[in-house]
Amino acid sequence: MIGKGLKRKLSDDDLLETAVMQKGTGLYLDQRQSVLNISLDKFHRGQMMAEPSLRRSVLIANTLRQIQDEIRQENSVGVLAENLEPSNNREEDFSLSSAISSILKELDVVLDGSSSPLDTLVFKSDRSGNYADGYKLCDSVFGNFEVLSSSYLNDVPLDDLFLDIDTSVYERESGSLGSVLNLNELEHIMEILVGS
Amino acid sequence: MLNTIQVLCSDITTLSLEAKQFASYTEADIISTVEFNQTGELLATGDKGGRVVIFQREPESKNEPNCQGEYNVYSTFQSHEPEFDYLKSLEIEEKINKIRWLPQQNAAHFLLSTNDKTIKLWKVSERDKRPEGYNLKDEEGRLKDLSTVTSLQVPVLKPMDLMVEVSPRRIFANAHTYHVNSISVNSDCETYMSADDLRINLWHLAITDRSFNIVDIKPANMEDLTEVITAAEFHPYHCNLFVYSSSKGTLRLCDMRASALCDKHSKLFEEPEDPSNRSFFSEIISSISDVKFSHSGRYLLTRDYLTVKVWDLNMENKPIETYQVHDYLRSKLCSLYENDCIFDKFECAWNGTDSVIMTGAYNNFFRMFDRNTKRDVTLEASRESSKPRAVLKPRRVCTGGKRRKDDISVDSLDFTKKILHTAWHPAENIIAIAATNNLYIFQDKVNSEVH
Repeated sequence: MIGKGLKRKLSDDDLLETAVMQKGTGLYLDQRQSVLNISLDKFHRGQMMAEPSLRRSVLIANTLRQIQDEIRQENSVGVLAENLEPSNNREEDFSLSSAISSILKELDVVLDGSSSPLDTLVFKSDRSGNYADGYKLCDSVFGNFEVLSSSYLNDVPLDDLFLDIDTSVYERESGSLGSVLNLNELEHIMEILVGS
Repeated sequence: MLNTIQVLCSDITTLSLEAKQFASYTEADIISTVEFNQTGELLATGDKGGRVVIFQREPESKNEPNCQGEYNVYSTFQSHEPEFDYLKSLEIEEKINKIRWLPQQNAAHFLLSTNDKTIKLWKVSERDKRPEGYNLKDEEGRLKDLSTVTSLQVPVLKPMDLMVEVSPRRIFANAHTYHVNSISVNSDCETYMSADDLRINLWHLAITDRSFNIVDIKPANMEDLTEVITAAEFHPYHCNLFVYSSSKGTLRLCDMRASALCDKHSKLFEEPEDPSNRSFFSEIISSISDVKFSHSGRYLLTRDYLTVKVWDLNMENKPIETYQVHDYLRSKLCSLYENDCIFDKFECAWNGTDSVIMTGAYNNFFRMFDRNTKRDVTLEASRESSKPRAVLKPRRVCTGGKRRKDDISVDSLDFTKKILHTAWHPAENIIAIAATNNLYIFQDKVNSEVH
C-alpha cells in the first residue's frame, strides 16, 4: 500500500494512473480526456453487447455526467473562456447530456422493449430540431473537446483523438438505429419526421 | 486460524462427471454462484451453462479419521436452458445468477435457482428402495392380464442403489424486465424475494402466477436513471425486514409493515465520500456488489470494488469497520476502467460466528479478515498450491519498496483470474471458493484435528 505522504518516485505512467490529482492541472485534464474517450468508446461497444448490463451503463453514464458538470462549471468560471465561444459551450453541454440520455433510453429499448425504436428516433429529432443538425451538433461538440485537449497537451496525437471520438459517436448513432431499420427506411422516416 | 486452511478436496474438475482438462474449459464451465445449505451438508454451484452441481459431505470414515467430511458430487442437473425472447428479440442466457436453499422441512431438499429472468424451485430427493409385488402391475409397470391374478399379495419395499432425483417444482417467470441479481428466502419459509436492476418482487413459494412489487426505483423517464439495485437480502429472522444495496454505494433497510410498496426506506446507510480520495471513479468503486446480513442479524456486510465494510444496523452514518481488500489497485483504476474489470461484482461472506469475513480478489487470491484480532490474510486458490491436505501459504502483493521472496508485484497480477464467488459453511470453518471453472473447498486444519 502506498501510504499518504510517503515519498516515492513517480514515472510518467504512474502520474497518469494516479487517481487523485489536483483539479485544473494539465495531467488532470489529460486524465479527464482519456476517461471521456474510454467512456464514449464503451458506450459505442456497449450497443453491440448481447447482454447489456444496466449497472455498467448507468455507472458509465454517471461518469460522463460528472465530466460534463465539471466542464460546465469551468466554463462558467471562465477558465477556458478564451478557447471556447459561449454558444459552443452550451451546445457541447447539451449534446453530451442528450448523448447520455439517449444512450440510457436505447438501453431501455433493448432491455425492456416497451418503447419502440421509433420513440428513440422521435426523441432525438425533438431534441436537436432536425436530424442533420444533430450530427453537426455532435461534430461541434467533439471539435470543442479537441480544442480543450490541444490547449493543454501538445504531445497527444490530436488527429487520432478527434477521429476516435467522432467515429464512436457517429457509429453509435447510425449503428444502433441501423440495426433496427435499414438505411432507406431510416431516410424515409426522417423525411416524414423532419418534413423535408 | 487464518493461515491454517487445508485443502479438503481439490477441485471440481476431478469431481465432475466428465473429466475436463484444466487448461481447456468453455465459457459454460465458469462457475457463477456457490451456496451451502443451512446445515452445510450440501453445497450447490451454478455455472454459466445453466447447470447446477450439488456436492454432499461424506460421513466420517472409521478407517481414515482424517478423511472425514470430503465433499463429493451428489447430483448434477440442467436448471436453465438458453432462451430467445421473440417479442424483444433478446437472447436470455442460461447462466445461473444465484442459488438459495430453502430450510429443510422433510427428507427432501429444495433450492431456488435463477438466471436473468426466471426463478425455478427444485426438489432434490433420495430414493434407495422400490416397491415390488403389485397386484395389478408387473415389474415394468405394465397392467397385468386380470385373468392371471389369482391371489392377493402385499407389495414390499426392496432396497436398491441410491438414486438422487431432482425435479422442477415451480417456475416463477415473466415478472422481471431487467436482470435478476438476487434471490432471498424469507425467514417465514413461505415467501421469497427476487431483485433485478430496478425492482424487487415478493413471491409466495407455492404461487407462480402472482408476485408483489415491493420496491420500484425505475424513473418515469429512463434518461433520469442514475442508480440501480445491485443486491438484496431478507433479515435472517425478522420476516418483515429486508435490505437492498445500490450502485451509488447506499444500503436501504425496508420494513414491509410500513407499506405495501417499500419505496420509502426505514433506514439509509451511507458513508460520506472521503474528499482526499475523490476521482472520476469514486462512484464506480463505491457501487456495492454484495450485501449480507450477519447470522446474528445485527450487522450488515457490504463489498465494494476496493473494500469490505461492516455496518451496525443501529448506525447509519458510517460503517463500524472497513477493510481494504486490494488498495494497491487504487492507482490503477483508469486501466481497470478501460478493461472493464472495475465493473466486476465481488461477493462477500461471513463465517458461522460472524467473527471472520471473506471476499475474493484478482489473481485467484482471496482475502480473510479477522474482526477480533484485526489480522488479515491473502490466500491463493490454485491447482499448484492446493494438493489435497496441503496447507495454504499466505500470499503477499508487493507495492513498491522492499520485495520479499515469493511476493508478487501488482503489475504481474492476472486480472482474468478473479474470485467473485465464495461461501462459508454455516457452522464450521469450511469454505468454498469458485475460481473460474474450478471449485476449491478448504478446511481449517485446527478445526479438523479437534474432531
